[in-house]
Amino acid sequence: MHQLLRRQLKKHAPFGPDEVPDELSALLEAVGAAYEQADFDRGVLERSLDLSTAELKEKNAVIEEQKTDLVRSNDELAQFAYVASHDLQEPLRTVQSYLQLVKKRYAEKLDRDGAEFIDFAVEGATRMRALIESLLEYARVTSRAKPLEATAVDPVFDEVLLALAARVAEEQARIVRGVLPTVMADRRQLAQLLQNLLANALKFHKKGVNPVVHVDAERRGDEWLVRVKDEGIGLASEHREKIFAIFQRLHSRDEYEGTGVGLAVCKKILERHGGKLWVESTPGEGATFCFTLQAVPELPDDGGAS
Amino acid sequence: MKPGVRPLPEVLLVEDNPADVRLTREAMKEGKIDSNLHVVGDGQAALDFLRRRGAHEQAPRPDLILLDLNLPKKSGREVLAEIKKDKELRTIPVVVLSTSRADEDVAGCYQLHANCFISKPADLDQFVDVVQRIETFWLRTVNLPERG
Repeated sequence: MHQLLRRQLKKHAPFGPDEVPDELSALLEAVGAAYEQADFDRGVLERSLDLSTAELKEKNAVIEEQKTDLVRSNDELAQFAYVASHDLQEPLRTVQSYLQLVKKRYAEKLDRDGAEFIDFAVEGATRMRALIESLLEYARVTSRAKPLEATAVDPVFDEVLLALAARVAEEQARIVRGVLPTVMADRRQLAQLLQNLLANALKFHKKGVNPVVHVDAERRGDEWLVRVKDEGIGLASEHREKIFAIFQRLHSRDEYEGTGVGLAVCKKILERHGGKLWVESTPGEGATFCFTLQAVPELPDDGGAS
Repeated sequence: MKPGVRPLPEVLLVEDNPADVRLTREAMKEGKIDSNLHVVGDGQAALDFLRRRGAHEQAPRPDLILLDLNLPKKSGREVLAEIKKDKELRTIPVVVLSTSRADEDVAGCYQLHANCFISKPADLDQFVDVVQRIETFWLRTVNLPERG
């Protein structure tokens, strides 16, 4: 007989556990069996609970580990950025300065070939520096990321125009600005994004035609769609993805300057903002770069109660 | 310092890269201001020079310190921090001259009271120009405290 049943009989029944009347014995046997089944079920439940707790612990440990890995890889990236800015630049600077010093001091001893070779070497070193700077800029999108805040695009755009003023004047460009919204953004990265897209629009204009750039925005659900539209050379559809990869260029350096990092930086900035970046273009008819950023979430209107 | 008697300014260059030491020398040679350039190659030696320790017992007190950041033994930042903590030494202007343009380096050095931070230009002519501007400004334009 199950212990619990035995105890209850002792307490409540007018007969002892060992003096069960015949007419009740079948019933009590069934009750005892039910108790035993309950014991068994509880055992099963407890074991499976233990198991799922163990699993949970294991999964938590994995997540913790991944978190540590992430922090470490971020630290490594920041470290890389520093190394790139200092340790890689220094020897390059030495190469460049001393080549220039040789050219200056020994100008009359060098023949035309000698001078030309030195120019090539200086150019190589200068270009290497530009590439390192670009790589650094790319790494900094992650290592210098700031939280997203409600940011009015207009004043940021003003700053960008100021930074590009010389180029706008040089190219005699016209920039037409529509009404620009307030979005959720890391201000500095928003400026970088706009500056890179505008600089591209100014750069890839048709020869002999002054660049015209239209910038406007449109609300799409929870997001703002911003368009930077130029009337430049445009690009073929097969290049629409390629241009966003780091160090990818469609043109020789003689045609258009650059290291091929600007759009990769833009793409990375939008990725961390949870937005998208793409291009619509017909060759010869200009390109429109479109990106989306989160609108500022509206606070629920609860009639002034706090 | 008595009026009319102008001893040569003493400049301490803390720089571990011999190529940069030479380049700075060349730039100063081309400049208009004569000075005595002393060179030490690491942070510890810089502090020994300033505190006239060991091999630097006879070292003069510099009128200007040009400090690289990436140094063996003691980093430029540590040297800067020690100079600016030291009552005797903190009046000597320290010009940080570094390859770095990293914001954290710039901000960090001003935090430690660097007198200014200059990124070494890669272009030779610009480098020469920068060194000469430093000389003209810190050894001619500004009034420095009398040597202690």
